[in-house]
Amino acid sequence: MAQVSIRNVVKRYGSVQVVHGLDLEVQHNEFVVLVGPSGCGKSTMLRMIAGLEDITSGEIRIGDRVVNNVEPKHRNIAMVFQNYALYPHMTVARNIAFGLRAAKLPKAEQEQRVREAARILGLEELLERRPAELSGGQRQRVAMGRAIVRDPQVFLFDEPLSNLDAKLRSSMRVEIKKLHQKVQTTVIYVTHDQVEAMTLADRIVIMRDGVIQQIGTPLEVFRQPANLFVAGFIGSPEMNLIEATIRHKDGQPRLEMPGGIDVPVPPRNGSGALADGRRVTAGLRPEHVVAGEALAALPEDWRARATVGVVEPLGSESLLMLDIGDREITGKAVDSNLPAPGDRAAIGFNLAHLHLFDPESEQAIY
Amino acid sequence: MTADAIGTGAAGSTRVGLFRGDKPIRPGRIVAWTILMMGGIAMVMPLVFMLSTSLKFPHEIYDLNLIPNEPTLENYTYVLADGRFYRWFINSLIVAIATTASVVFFDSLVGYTLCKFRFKGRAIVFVAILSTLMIPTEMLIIPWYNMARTFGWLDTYWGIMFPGMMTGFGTFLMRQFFESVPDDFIHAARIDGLNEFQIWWQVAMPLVTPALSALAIFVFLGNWTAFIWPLIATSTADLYTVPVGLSSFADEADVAWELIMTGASLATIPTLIVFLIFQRYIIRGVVLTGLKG
Repeated sequence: MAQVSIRNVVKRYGSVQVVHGLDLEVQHNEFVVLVGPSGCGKSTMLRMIAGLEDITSGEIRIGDRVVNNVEPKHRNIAMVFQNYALYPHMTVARNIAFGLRAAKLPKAEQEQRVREAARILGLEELLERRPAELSGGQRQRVAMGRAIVRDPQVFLFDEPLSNLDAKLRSSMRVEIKKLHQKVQTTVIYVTHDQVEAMTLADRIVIMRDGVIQQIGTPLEVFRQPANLFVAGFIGSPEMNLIEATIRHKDGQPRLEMPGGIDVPVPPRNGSGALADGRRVTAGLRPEHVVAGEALAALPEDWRARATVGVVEPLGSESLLMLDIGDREITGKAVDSNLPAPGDRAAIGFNLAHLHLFDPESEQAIY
Repeated sequence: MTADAIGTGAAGSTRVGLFRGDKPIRPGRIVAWTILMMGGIAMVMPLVFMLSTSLKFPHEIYDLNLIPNEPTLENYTYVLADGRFYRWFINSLIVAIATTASVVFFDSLVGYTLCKFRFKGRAIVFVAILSTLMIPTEMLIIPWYNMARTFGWLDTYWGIMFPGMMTGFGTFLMRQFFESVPDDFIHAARIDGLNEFQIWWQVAMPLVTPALSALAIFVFLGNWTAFIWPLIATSTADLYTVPVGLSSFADEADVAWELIMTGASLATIPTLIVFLIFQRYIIRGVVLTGLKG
């Protein structure tokens, strides 16, 4: 079993603390993605799991063994690096076999394992080439081959796709997902790209400033963001976050938003705590700010009017930049009969998906 | 019909710049070529004179003609028949190869450590090594001599070699080159199970071959042509290196320039071989390390 347990792990560089008491349990065969902006401590955490960085305090377990003081080579892990870390003076076959040679495995077994890894990753034709003769995607596959050939308990990926172009990145995402399904091993994957996190992860760990903001499945963190940071970080285009005030009318809470927009807060857990006059940050994803035919599906009092700033056709749908008061929000429309820039158009808020956050604590309150 | 004729014919008197060859040679370029040619001649002339003198009889050596009136190989026969030259040649080879191997090994090891390991006092050690570059060799000769005399190293191979077994320059050069080796290579090797010495030898060293080759050429040439210290450190003719041995062809009464130049001509052969061998590695190393993400 290759569970990874991270308990109250702290990392300090001198007086600067970069990881603050991090707790995380990664289950056997689970694909966990650590995601967050640059400098949030996700790569440092990965390197501590790998043993490339010492931990200041806390405990890291791989399987049932505490590995705080275990050398990287004895942790039974494999790591894929951002820049692939392929040795340019060695062929693909030698690169893949590098760890096996170091472990002094018999030649026949080395060859058999290299061929198996090459077969899985479609590298059979490239075994005699050097890294300089490979494309970015091929190099990435070789780096993965070097990892899987060692049959490790845990795979660690440190932003492995960030050097690839957008098209290659999406195809490599699929390959990594397939690889995980084939090799059935625990994976901890670091990225700053939330799309990568959403598409790959069984569970996502969202980090900021060395602190975990939320842990959950991709849909959980998308649908129920724990705080403003997660709400803004997960989802593309990002969630509309609008300063608003709660006003009670006939005993029911309503949201007063810029541009004279006034919509009801549908009754739900948490709506009882919304006191009259309370300042909140309202969150609605662009797909829940609609225009055109989709308006018909929404109740009358969930609608408002806004000035259309920019229209961005994406093919199957269009993004609308809408001005409400001094704020600009993003909406989506799927029909072809779109309002033109400058129009004062009818828009609707799908309030069934409304999020409310406390502006002070930034935590979700509704 | 020439390209120029086609150009002017097609467009009347207007010059059409279709062909590079049509461009007139600019005067600036002529000046540059002239200066470069003069520089080249100035560098090659001593070598040509050396070769030319080695093919002359003694009565002709003070004539400045490049082509001997009566070319002869007698000087080569004399020098090669004199067993001492072989001895000096072997001594030079031993000294140059041993010091080159030592410098390449130790300087790159120290350079790697200073570059890739974080430890207390690292900066001080590096500055101390750098500061040795500021001291002229002449100032070090007396301390070296005292040291060699105290430890009984005078008139031994070790006595000739020990000052050059590690160099501040080599350490500095290698440290700077190891900066270009990505840390991820080292981390990957560490995870793959290599110990620190294996990482240095199997991963880092092949990635700095251009620097190693350049260093090897510099050190080999420096030691092959070294004169002052080997002269001071040795008093037995059997331990002379080629430059020291050749100087013995001159005495108070006479200087046998034709023999000195013959020995010097023969002595350039190993340096040419070393340069040709390591030059290949410099080019190959540049190709290898030119890998981009």
